[in-house]
Amino acid sequence: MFTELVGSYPRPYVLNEYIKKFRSEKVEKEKFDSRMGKFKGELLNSLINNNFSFFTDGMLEYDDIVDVVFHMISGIKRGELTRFYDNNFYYRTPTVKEKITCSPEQYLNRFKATIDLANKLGINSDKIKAYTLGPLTFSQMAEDNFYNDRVELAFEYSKSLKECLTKLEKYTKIVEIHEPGFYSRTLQKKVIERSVEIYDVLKTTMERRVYPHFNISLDRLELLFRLDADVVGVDIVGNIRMAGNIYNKLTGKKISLGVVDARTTKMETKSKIRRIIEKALDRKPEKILLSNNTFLDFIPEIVAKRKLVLLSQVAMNE
Amino acid sequence: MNELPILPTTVIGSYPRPKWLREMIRLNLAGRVTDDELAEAFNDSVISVFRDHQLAGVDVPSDGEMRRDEMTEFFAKKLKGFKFYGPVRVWGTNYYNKPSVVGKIQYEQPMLVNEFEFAKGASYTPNLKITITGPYTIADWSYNEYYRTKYDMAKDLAKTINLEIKKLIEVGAKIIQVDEPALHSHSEEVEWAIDITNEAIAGTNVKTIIHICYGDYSLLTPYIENLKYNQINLALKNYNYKPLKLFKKWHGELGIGVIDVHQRRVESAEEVAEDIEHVLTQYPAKKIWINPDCGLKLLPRSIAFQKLKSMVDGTKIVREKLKS
Ligand SMILES: [Zn+2]
Repeated sequence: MFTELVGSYPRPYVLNEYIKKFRSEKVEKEKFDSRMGKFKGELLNSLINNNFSFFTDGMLEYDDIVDVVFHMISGIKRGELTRFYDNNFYYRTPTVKEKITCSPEQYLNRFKATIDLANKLGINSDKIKAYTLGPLTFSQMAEDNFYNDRVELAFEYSKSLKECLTKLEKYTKIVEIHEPGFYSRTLQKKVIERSVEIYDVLKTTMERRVYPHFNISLDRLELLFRLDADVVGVDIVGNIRMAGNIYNKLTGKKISLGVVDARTTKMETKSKIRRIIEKALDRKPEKILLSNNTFLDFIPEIVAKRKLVLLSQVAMNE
Repeated sequence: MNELPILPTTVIGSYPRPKWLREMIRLNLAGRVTDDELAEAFNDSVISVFRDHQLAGVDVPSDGEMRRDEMTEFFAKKLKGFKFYGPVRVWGTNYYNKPSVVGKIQYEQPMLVNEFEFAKGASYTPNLKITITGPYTIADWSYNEYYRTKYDMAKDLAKTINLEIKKLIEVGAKIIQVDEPALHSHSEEVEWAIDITNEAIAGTNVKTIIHICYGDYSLLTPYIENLKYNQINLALKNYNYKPLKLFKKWHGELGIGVIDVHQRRVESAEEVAEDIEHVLTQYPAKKIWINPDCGLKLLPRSIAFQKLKSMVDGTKIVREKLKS
């Protein structure tokens, strides 16, 4: 079965110390890049050794998914530190000060470095996914001092993002679009109503995989399947109490099934994961990938590593 | 407890560790300073903190929580049932050691008794405060590998925290503050979270305070009357006192955060006085205590000190006006 690493991998503590030094200009860029390359390379190699079909570079250079946006889009500033939904994890609110435009140079440079590294290591770079934050969540998170309209903000962001994706096509065929706010109660109703159109703006030749995070609500899940996306993330393991209702909606769908939980250190058992897969396959989805259910940043690295190994063992029927 | 002036001033708990103490901790980790030497440094730092609080004029001081690295980790390391896998990032380049509960949580040894006894001997006033992290917050900031539900986990934590509080009372603690910054993190859990945190102070007869900071206080207000503490203290300066009106139904005392602990700008005494006067248009003075929004430990020590001084001087201005 296909497996994928979705989103971030916990940034190793030693690398973090290096990032701190680099940001306070105590390490030269060249030296820092080579250090970063070493950590990225180790991660890519370990994913290949575990037969992962697709993966990101672990988002190691970025503090969180919102931080990615600051390296891709201009017209926004870093605002106050805000809680990331109900996690004990915080991000800087993007504050919209002027018209949003695509300016992906920093992101592209870093992504290109990952691709170059993969080529050097003999890793098929088609397996490597780009990643970004989706328009619905952006419109919810942003402090908007310019458009004064969440729907317009979502459309404008989508347009800029699409331009960025067009520039990314040279390097990769797949992009992850994260929507951690998709099921949130504070996502604006007006935005939800226009979400299909907002996603239509993003159409490119790139494969778009859309990942909502956290507590599923069933009517939003139906909406998710209506978005123009090639694969959508369905977090079963984090929503196990309503799994029965979720399975019922999977017929004919292309999904990435979250089967290891990145919000607890408790290890899943192989039999539990197998049961989830069987039940999902019973409903005959058109395509199925196995993945972690949300950002692996929420658990210590050693546990994240174990969970990825477990995922790959189940996929290979070990 | 001795008698306190009107509008008593206090701290939330933590205070910046002196640079020399941080250096001693580092040297101890590197094996170049013995545990005994480090213990002596901790004691000396507590004396320094009380001296700072005394010079600033704080009525109800603390020992600055000099011995605690982090408010969950400190207790998880002393209780049975916890395990640490490694650090997790909380934001940017900052990590904390988030513990996992892997067995039944049980009380093993007094956690704060020695700390309190030393503080009592070093304090310039019998009105000192001891702080302890609340059971709901420890539960919320840990992974649950063992219990069927988070509620069950929090319930066992409440038992252990209650035991510790009773031990503190035995050795003379008169003012106990339970820190529950996570109490209102999950709207669907607030109601039972309040029951849990009440269990932590069950069967006690000293002054009890609960510290709640940041986030959406309106999630608390439907259940506020269920809280059994004598006082709630809150971060309010950070929100320009907007949430103040939410606590009209609260029967007890209110601790008002008048100092923003996330900004280095030092509030002036006049600014503090003005803020307190604004609060007094909504609540009677006899119900109000004055404190910073939260612990001061992330500020440079000199700024933390100046902020406390402004807090006390501003309070004194209002006290004078109340006299006339
Ligand atoms: Zn606080």
